[in-house]
Amino acid sequence: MQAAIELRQVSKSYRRFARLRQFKTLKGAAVRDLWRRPAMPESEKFNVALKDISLSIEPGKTAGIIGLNASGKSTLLRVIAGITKPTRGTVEVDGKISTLLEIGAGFHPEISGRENVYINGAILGLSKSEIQSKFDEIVKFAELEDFIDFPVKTYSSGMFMRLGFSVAVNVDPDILLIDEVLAVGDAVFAQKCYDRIFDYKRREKTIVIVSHDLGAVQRLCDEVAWLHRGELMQYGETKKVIGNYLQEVTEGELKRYAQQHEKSVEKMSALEAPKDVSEEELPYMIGPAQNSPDPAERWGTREIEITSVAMRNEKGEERYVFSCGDTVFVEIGFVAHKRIEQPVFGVGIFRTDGVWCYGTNTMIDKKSIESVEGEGHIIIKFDSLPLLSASYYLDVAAHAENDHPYDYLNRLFTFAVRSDRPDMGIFRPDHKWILEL
Amino acid sequence: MKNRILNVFRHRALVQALVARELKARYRSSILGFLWSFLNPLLLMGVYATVFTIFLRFGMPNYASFLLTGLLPWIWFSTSVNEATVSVVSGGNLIKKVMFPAEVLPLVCVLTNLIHYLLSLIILIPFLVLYGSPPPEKVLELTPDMLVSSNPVWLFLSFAILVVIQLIFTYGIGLALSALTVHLRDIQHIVLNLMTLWFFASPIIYPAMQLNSKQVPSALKSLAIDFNPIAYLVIAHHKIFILRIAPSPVELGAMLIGSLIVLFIGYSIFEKFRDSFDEEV
Repeated sequence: MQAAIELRQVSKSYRRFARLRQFKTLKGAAVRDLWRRPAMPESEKFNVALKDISLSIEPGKTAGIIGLNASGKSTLLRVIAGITKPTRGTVEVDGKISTLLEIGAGFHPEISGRENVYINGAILGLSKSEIQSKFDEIVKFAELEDFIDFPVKTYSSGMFMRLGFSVAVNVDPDILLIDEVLAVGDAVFAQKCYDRIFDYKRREKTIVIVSHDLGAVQRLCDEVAWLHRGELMQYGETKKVIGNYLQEVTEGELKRYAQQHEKSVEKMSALEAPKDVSEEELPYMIGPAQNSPDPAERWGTREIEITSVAMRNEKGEERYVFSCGDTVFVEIGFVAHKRIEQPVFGVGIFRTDGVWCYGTNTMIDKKSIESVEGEGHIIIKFDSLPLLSASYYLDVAAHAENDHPYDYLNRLFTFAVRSDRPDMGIFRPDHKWILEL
Repeated sequence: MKNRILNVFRHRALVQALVARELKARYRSSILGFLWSFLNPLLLMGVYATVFTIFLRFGMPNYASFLLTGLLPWIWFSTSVNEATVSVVSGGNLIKKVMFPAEVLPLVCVLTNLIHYLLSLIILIPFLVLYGSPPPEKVLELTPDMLVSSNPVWLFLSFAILVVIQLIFTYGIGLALSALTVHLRDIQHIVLNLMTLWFFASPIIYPAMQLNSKQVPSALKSLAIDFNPIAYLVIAHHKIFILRIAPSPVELGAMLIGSLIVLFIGYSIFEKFRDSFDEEV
């Protein structure tokens, strides 16, 4: 079967400077030979966006393109669309293409939605009569029946996006290219967009989607191409490729979070709080103010001083990236500079956007500690940490039962949870579905 | 080349839609709206007429008619070129995000201003009738064949051909400048000033024979008249509208060939830079 999209050894490199603008001014261009500045080495003149990519997408398949930022995903899409010419290699496309790289490209704010539909349709390659026959459907899909004759500048951004999406999906192409624009409008409209894309799938159209939303890719795509720094790492069955991608990303993240933890430890000792403040001056404890996600803070009298914080997995290895549901140990090392009666140790988990996900301490959990003196460790074990995919802050604290603060470390330590399931919210309560008929 | 022309033709719906967009958007928020297409040339003519009949006199009866006849095609040309120069740069959004034939952008500028030009003729023709024309011998050096007015059909036809010639010529210049500006943005400022010089170097506010004076070096004179495409266009307008004489087929043919050469060169430059547009805009 002939492929709908066939790339053969496609490479693309961008000049870092425009041909003429290598020289900042006209004068620079004119005196180049007099000045004889050393020529830039060839390797520095170019940014390589795509390296030797061969890929064949069969008609009727939905393919996803995933990868980190700057991995060449959008460039690949533009090469397929014919917007960008590859530096080397060939691209063959069989069928009429419609692109959704940017919603509402070509919309003019001063003229009405109706006129913009005609122009946008023409830009996407429709003839006037084709647009005429689809016009009602486009407006209905965008839910803009009452507003279609107002200038587009009066539209809300949601209305603008809806209209742009509606025109693009009503072009009825053989091949639809979508770049990270699936989530438009409210939840209801987003669902309509998904429905429309599923409808395309059913009608055996070829679709290529670039997205960071792995959940969406998993739902929509039959095959996935994983790009890393311009190279095609893998192309194949969705689940397999996403699995490998996540593993690679997680390994990179493991390193990153471990490094970050080391920095946090250094910072912890650098954060000096005045040790002899009167209690009235100290902020009210238990947890830090919820609206101050940053910067890292440390305060307290340091009668008990926290000396180390580590997170470990069930094997006891230090880890700062976990999967949803992993067993997690948080180990707090401390020194009590004198004998302290009835200390309380606490931990708090905050999502980096400030949402307080969980907080507890030894007092709440009725695990009273008679006294501490000298060095020690206290460990809290989460048999299963059911947080969903996100980055989190780990706050730790030692204080007295009457909230008198010994040592508070807020917004200093970070960890991440990665999950390959696209469920939504903050945490995943243990659950199962029961169907009764 | 032939395929490319077909390509532009295939996108005629797009060209049409974009020209309509420009026309509609331009005066959308003004009270008089589309009337400005008439009012603008009328008011501009008022300004020039005031300046050149009160402050600077040329000693030509009914001078305003002479001025307006040359000024309107010049406005079409200069506005189109200035707009086309930045058209690819400012249409970057389309070039980067949609499979879009970039050569459409300068064409839209030229066509939009063509519409304005044609509308302003609706002012020019009654004006010439009501206000009266300057005597022919003050406008051009007359040769015997210029003494008889042409047949109105041929007059109209030759005007239509003239419009096509200017369209081709302007589009050629617009193509070249729009592509070069992508790589060297300085060009838009240079163009703006060169157009002013070009305006005064062309026989628009003065008749060509003004340059016959001994004070003007003959090299400059031939640069302004013989090697100036705008001079040919403007003089052809003077012939048609004031003398009511159609330019000869030879004249028109030569101008057509010249404008096609300009289009070819402009297109070649555009083509050379085309692949880099999406990186540079």
